[in-house]
Order: sequence, then C-alpha cells, then structure tokens
Amino acid sequence: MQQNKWGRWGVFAFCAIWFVLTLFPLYWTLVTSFKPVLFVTSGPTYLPWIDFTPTLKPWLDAFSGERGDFVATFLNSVWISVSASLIAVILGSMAAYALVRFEFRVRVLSGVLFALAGIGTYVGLTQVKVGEVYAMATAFPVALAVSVIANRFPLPGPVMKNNDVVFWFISNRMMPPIVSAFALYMLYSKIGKEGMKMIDTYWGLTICYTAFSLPLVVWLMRDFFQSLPVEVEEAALVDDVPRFRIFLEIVVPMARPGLIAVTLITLGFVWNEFLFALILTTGDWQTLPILLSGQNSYRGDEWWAIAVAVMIAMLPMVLITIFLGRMMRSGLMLGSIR
Amino acid sequence: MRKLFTGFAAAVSLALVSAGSVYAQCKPQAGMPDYNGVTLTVGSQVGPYIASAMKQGGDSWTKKTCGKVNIVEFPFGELYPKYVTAFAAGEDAFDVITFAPAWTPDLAPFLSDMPAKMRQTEAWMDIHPTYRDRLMMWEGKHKSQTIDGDLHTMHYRIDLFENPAEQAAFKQKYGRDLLVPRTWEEYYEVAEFFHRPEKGIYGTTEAFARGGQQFWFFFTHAASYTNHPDNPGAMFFDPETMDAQVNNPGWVRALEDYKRSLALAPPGALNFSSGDTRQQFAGGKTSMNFDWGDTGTVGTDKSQSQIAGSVGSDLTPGSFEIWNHKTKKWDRFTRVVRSPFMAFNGWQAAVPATSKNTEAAWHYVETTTNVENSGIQVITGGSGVNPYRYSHFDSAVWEKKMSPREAQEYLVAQRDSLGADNVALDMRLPFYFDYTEVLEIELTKALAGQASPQEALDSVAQQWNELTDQFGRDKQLAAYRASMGLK
Repeated sequence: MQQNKWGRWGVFAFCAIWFVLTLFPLYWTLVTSFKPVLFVTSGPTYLPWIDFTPTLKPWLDAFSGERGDFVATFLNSVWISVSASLIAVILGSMAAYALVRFEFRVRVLSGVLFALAGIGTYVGLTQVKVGEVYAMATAFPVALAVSVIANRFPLPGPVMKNNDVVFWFISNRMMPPIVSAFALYMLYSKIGKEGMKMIDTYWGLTICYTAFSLPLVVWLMRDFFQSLPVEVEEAALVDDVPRFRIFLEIVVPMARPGLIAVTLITLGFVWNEFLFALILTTGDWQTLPILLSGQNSYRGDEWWAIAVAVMIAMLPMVLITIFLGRMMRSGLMLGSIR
Repeated sequence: MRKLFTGFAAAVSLALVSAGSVYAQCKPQAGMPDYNGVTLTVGSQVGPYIASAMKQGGDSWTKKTCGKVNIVEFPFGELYPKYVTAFAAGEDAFDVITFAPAWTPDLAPFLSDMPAKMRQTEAWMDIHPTYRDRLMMWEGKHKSQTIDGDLHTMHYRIDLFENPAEQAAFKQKYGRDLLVPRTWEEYYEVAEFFHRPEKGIYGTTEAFARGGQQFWFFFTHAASYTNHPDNPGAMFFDPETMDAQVNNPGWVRALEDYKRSLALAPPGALNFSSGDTRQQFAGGKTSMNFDWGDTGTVGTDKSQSQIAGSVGSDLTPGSFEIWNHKTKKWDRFTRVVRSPFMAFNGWQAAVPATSKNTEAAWHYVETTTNVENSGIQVITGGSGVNPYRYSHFDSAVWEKKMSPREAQEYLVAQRDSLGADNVALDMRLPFYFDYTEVLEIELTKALAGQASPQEALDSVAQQWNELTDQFGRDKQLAAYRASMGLK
C-alpha cells in the first residue's frame, strides 16, 4: 500500500515536471511580450511586478503599425486559411469517400495519353500563336477528355486501382514545396499578364493552399471513412436514397470527428505556411507568418517584438483547437460508431 | 422593414457620396504635381527600421500631392529574392524599392535612371558627396537615392572615462592617461582595464552571431589594417587582378583583434547581433562599443538606456601600420591613420523600370528624402536613418534628444568619419551574398576555435577566388572597380 502511494506520487511528480516543461515556453513568450527592452537584454527576469515592471509598449507598437500591419495580415490569414481549409476538406472528403466506396480502374496507358494529348495540344496551339495561358487552359481539358475516353477501352498495360490513386494523391506532397513554388509563381505571373491577376490575390493563395492541402485531406479522410460501418449506407441504398444524400446526411455526420480533426490539421498547415505566402504575395494579401518572420530584423533578434507576434499568431489556433477539440470529443461519443 | 431598408440604403449612399466628395476635395499644395488616384507600392523590410521613415515620407507626400503610398514589408532576408524574382518575371509589383547598396550591381539593370531635375536643386548639393557621387551611382548613372547614412563609429561611457578614481587607477597601471582610444591597441588596453565580469561590466562587445551582421564588424577592424591610402580600392580585392586580399596579414591581424573582442565581451556574446551590442551598451554592461549611429540614439534615450547623458562618441580606432598588398609589407605611418568603415553603405531607394508611375515614384523618393523630412527621420529613434546630408549635422536639432555634449560628439564622429581622407567603402559586387556567406561560415569557425585566423581566412580567400572565376573574373573586376570609384 505504501509502495503504491509512493508510485502515485512519482507519477504525479513526473506529470507536474512535464506540465511545467511544456508550458514554460508559452509563459516565457507571454511575459517577454510585456517586458521593457532593457529587461529583455539584461539577464533573465521571470515575474512581472516583482522582477520587472511590465509594459504594453511592444503590444502597442505591434498594433500601431510600427512593426508592420498586424491587423490586415491577421485578417488575411483568417480569410485565406478558413477558406482554403473548408474547400480542401469539402473536396477532399468527397474524393476520399469515392475512393472508399467505389472501385476505380485507371489504365496507365490512358495516363500516358493524358500527358501526350496535353503536351501536344499545348505545343500545337503555341505554334499557331495562341498565348501560353490560353494554350494551357485548352490543353488540360483536351487531355482530360482524351484520357477519360481512352480509359473506357481495353488498353494494354497495367491498371491502377484505388490504393494506387491514393498513393498518387499523397505522392504530390513528397517533393519539397520549393520545387513547385517558383513554377507556380511563373504560372500565376503569366496568367496575370493575360489580365487575370493571381499573384497577391485572395484567390491566388486560396487555390494554392487548397491544392496543397488536398492530398493530406484525402489520405486522412479515407481512413476515417473506411472505419465507418457500411451497413448503414447499404440500408439507405435499399430504400433507394440517392448516393449524394447518403454522403451528406449519413456519412458526413458519422465522420464528424474525423472531419473536425482533418480541418484542424489543414487549418494549422495553412495558418503557419510561409513559403507560398512569401512567394505569391507582394503586400495586399500578405499573411501573418511573413510578418512574424520579419520581426527578426537585420538588426538582430528583437525578442519583445517577436514574442508579441508569436502570441498574436498562436492565440487563434489555440482557441480553435480548444473549441473544435471539444466538438471532436463529443462527436466520438455519438452516432453509430460509438 | 421596407422603411428600414430604405433608410439603410440612404445612409450608405450618403456615406459614399461624402467619401467621394472628400476624395474629390483633395487639392495638391501650390507648386506640387497632382497625383490624385496614384497609389505607389513601396517595398521595404519590416518596420520600424527604414519602413517607418518611408511611411513618414509617404504621409508628407500624400499631403503635398494627394497621391497615396502603400508600404509593403518583408523580412530583411527575403527582400533581395523578392525583388529579383519580381524583376526577372517582369512583374510591376513595386513602384519604389528600398535596398542595400551591396545589391546595386544585381538590381541596376532593372532600375530607372534618376530624373535630371532631381539633381539640380539645393537639396541635392546638401547630400554628402560620399553618397551623392559614389554610392548613389552605378556605371556612371544615378540609379538610386540614399535614404540612410551608414558607417561605424565608436561609443564610450563618459561616466567611466571621466571618473577620477578610474583615471588614477588607469595611469598607475598603464603609465598614461585614460583617454578615448585612437588605435586598436589602445582600445583593447582600455577594454581590458574596464573588463570586470564580477561587477557585471565588460570591456567591449561586437556582433559575433552568424547572420547577425558579424562580417561588417570584422570589416571595420580590417579597414584599419588594409585600406591603404596609396592603394585605393585594394581592401577586399586586388583592383588589377581581382585576387582576394582577405587572407593577407592585415586581415589576419583584424581577425585576431575581432577574437580579442570576444574575450572581453559579456557572456553569450557569440550569439550577439548588432541589436544586442547596442542594448548591452545602453544597459551599462560594456565600457565601449562600436556600431552604426543607432548606439548613439538608443544610448542617449532615457526610455531605452541606463547610461543616458554619458554616451560619448568618436571615430573608430585606427592604426599606425597598414598592409601594402603591392610591396607585401607593413607600411608604418608617423600618425594614426583612421579608416572609418562605411558598413552597409546606407539604405538606398530606387524606382524599378517596370513601374507604371516612375515620375510619381521619383517625386515620392525626392519628397521622402528632402531636407525637412529626412531631418525628422534622422532624429527619430527606431527610424534606422543615420545622417547623410550636411543639414543633418546641425546640433540644435539633436540637442532635443541628447545632451549638448552627447550631440556634439555624436555629430563630430559621424561627420568626421564620413569626411575622413581614408574612409573605406563597403563591397558592392554582383553575388555579394555568395561572398559574405563564405566569410560568415569561416568567421564562425575561427571564433569557435575550430580554425586559426590564418586558416579561416586562407579558406575564405580560396573560396572567394573560386566564386570570382565562377561568376566571371573580368565581369566581377569591372564591377568591383566601378564600386570603388576606379576607372
């Protein structure tokens, strides 16, 4: 009994130490954001009003626009991350559901035909002086139509199935983003010169983030949908309920915890993304990570300003995680997967 | 409901009409061009440094011309790729860019020329010739406007240097008076004297962190030993062959000095950037430092400093001996040769050729940097703007911020450095960052004791020569000679 008691205290002590270790960086950032400059650089101080006299100056500097436009970049981050996450989760969930409930057979040769038709159309059109952007816009649907039609014929060669398609999705995230970042910049730039501005626009960033979030959404939602009981859907099918209604009214509610979890992951990815935001914006639609990075100026690490920026960037994600986390846990306790 | 909707629509319409009328009412000041409807996009690093000055100038320009200015800010490390990417793609993303002079060789092909009428005013002649006739030019054309003067000056604590007990103790120990050091040897003597870690006071400090502007501090040491008055432009490379000079005995002595500073610096100094050095000095932790003019403005500001009222300034120390790369010998002079280093060379503003508002953009640059606006920026702490006009040296303005003695010494140090016979210009070379990156890696190794100063600098020299060959020796040589004002 005595040994058991000591064991419990040991576990408690370990948890307490772990608690302090994990929360201390957050506490340190928070107090640093209220420190006068002299107290940041003249040795460690820990407790406001005891070690140092707190000041609101770093916060006032941030919101006065002196250290960049925090309000505008914050709002940009909110609009873009929420839009891109929702679009990616809606599209990705449908794709994932289809990959779980329907069998796909994609012939490799039709893929090759896609490439050949796409490149051929593009080259052909540019030869007859059609602009690059219009040629590309025409080549893609032509290639898609050719490959879809070709896939209906018994073409020779290997056939890819659902798992291969899922692997293809996730393989899009295997290469470092910088590989596609400059290509995307050039593409957006060319589209912009044809009159449809993409660089430094809401849609430019939202489309980019949606595209880069989709593989992860498809991959994760596929696992969630696979764990749902197919019997409920089969019962609905027997009653002649259309497939799309089954998806919206039966599958989506049952997959709510998964959808929330995936939304959170996507939101986190888009909220914190730096590279595309840096390359694809020039000012109007700049997002928070760019401004946060800028607080580390060429004059060195201005920790008081960095701490404020970090707090501003972190707070929404903490609040959303707490809120959606509650919904996710309550969702786990409901429905037919209980 | 209908009434409510009608009322709401009427209110919105009224608001729109009144907003429109306010817009329409904007009249440019007398003699100023009308830039109603023009919005300029100005690229800058994230504020407050430089960006706040561009904003201040923007507000002034808006009042005068009714044009608008949108300052877009990027992390300093991303500015160069941002500009180059936009220019290479032919994007008209910026109407004005602010940039480091070291990038001029790379950016110049994409920049418009400064209009001739900007160079025919009294305000033009007020700009110090080092900037006006050297740093604002590239290949014989005025491509940019200096918006900040940058050079290193030395700072010391008057309260320590003029303390009778300290003076007596110093004289007893070294047999000479405790004076503001004129040479690096004297500088380290004084630093060692005041180095009292047990009391929380350290001799000096510099930026030692990789990526924290360390190499500019090292260059300041090197200028004293390598910027030979008889061999102009030979500090970094041989201006005849473009062979790297960075491993000659002058540079090695500079690196030995730089390491000596590290031993006399506060704990953790290996991670100090320039911002940290001025905070350490303003916090009363070091007896001396050398830095851009910001140590002066921060150190004398009571809200940021514990030593306000005691900040003395002077030129950075010099040397009796300078390495002659032609004779491969140390030349000894009868007087101390001061070689103040124009670290960073001062921020520049320019108008890209892709801008659709080049005339308005140059007018904005001219307004932002005129005598009146730059005079405000230069005494505003945190603007990052240091003196670059003769009018900036008017001590009456500075005495609003500093004590008369602090202002006097600060301005004399700045003005005399700028006007020094042997002032040393910073490098301006295509692919500048490739060269400095190599240097930073090797400097960090030397500071960490992983390589001796000679080994580290031999490695830098070898890599600099390889880079020069890779980028084209003739092309680099022509650019280097142009940047050093050699024909």
